[in-house]
Amino acid sequence: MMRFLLRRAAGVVATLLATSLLTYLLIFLGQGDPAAVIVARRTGVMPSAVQIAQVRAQYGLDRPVIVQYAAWLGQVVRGDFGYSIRTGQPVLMEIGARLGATLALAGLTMVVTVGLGLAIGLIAAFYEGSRFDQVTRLLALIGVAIPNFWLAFLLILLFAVYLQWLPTHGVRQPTSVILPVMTLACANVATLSQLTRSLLRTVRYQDYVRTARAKGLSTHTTWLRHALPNVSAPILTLVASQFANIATGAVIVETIFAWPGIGNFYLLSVSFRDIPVIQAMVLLFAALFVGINFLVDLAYAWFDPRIRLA
Amino acid sequence: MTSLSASLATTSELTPRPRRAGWRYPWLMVGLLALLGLGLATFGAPLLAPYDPTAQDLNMGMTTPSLAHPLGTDQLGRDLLSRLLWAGRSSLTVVLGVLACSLLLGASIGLVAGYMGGLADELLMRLVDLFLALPGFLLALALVGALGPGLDTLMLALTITWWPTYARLVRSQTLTLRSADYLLAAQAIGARHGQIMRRHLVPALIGPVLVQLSLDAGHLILTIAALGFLGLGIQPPTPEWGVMLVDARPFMQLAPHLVLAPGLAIFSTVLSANLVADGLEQWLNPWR
Repeated sequence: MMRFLLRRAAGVVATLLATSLLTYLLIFLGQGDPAAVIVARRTGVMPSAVQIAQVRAQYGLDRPVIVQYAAWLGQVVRGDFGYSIRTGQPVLMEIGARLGATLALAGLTMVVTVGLGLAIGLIAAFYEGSRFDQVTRLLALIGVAIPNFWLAFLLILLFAVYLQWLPTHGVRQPTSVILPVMTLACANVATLSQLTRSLLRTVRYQDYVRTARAKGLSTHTTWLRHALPNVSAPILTLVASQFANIATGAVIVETIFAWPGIGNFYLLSVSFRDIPVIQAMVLLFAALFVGINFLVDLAYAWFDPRIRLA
Repeated sequence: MTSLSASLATTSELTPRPRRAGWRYPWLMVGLLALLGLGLATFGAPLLAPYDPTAQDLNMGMTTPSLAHPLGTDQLGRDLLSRLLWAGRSSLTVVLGVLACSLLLGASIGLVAGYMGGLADELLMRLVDLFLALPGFLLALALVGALGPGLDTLMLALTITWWPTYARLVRSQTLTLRSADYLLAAQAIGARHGQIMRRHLVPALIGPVLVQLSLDAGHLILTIAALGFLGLGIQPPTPEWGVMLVDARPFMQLAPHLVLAPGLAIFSTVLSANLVADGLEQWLNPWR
């Protein structure tokens, strides 16, 4: 187990290092001199040569790229992503102030997704071919094809404008969270329920499930204690990637519902070309992706000795 | 006797069905026909669209559907149907471009990695893992933001985030095929690597790749519309479904058809692509 852990951890570190290099290079993507861009963004006028030289020295842009990268990486490792060009505040502080709102949204969405997705998948597989199965399959097809921004509009029209049950946007009331969560959960519930259903369909005729039945266990015990745990690995993978995708994909939903999360903030930073923020966000989310995958791998190895001993 | 027949019934669930002809999968056919129709309608926009999609007529703002304007007009009096058709044309062009580039790049890397194995495989797959680790949508936003929005940057940004899937898929398929008897036989009679790849590997890869392509087509339509929605996709005055939705937002209550039409266009395109992916997979994989 220890060797497995070490090997995987080394892989994580290597991936993050390579990601950080790619992320750093983002600063050179914009047209023209980054220093000139920074000055122009900040003051709104064409920068003078002196100003450019100042900013260049301030951000260390006059040094060779590899030195700049090393210096930047040194700061990043110590948790210093520099200052936002748009707001002038430390990047990490700006992100930290908004991370909670996004994680709350993503977490709540995942609770709804896992609860509904597993339940629908279980029932549909158990009563395979039933009316419930057919209807939920159709709904799932629809659910993954609906663009989430359009769904958001439709939900706002129905629940906020016509019925006036829920607020259209903001975070003032606790009920404000319902529409964003519904929007985000829709496609995820659809995918998770159909994956659960098809996985359970393939294991329900396996020998160990029949043995469990033959031992005299009730149908419910067989399904919940023998069939479901054996399909938990792919389900876990999907749920983990869904969580990571919601955390990054919340940009649109946060914008529509004026949710004060990092997605909203990221979009503003992109349109302002606030490079330090963009770099920090891309790197942090790459770290989140890699970290989640690492945890999933660990969970796999924990559940399945064949993996950790290989 | 009953238990025997019961066990026979259950084992039969695990044996492959005989493959039926493609046209006997109704949903596959529905999806294909719908995609074909959409493709013809949108690429035929210059011929089919009744009006110039950018022609404004402020006296005719936000009219409901009529004979002159089958889907009504938007807030600037532009014909909604013409805009929908032209918008589909630009979105589908981007989809085709991104899919072609991603497939070309990803499949060749995956093919080489899977077939060669060893160090080449190790290095190429680390590169793929690296790109898979990047948060795709955020990166695409950053790239478009940095390079300035436009058709070419849009395609570039999307290809960068899309190709690794194909490398992964093609590599894993190649790995499972590499030790297949017919490949070993080809090697044994002295076929060259290039020949084996072309004649024996690539044909076997077409099925899974087609499934992935149709799945990604739907995904790309959603992403392109999302980028347009955020103002970072296809730029006005070129009509685009996502942009049309944003523009219609303030008039949601006054003219719901302005919100409904582009949404339905995106939805039906994605749905037909997904139906094709689903149907193809069932058709090509008799075990399911």
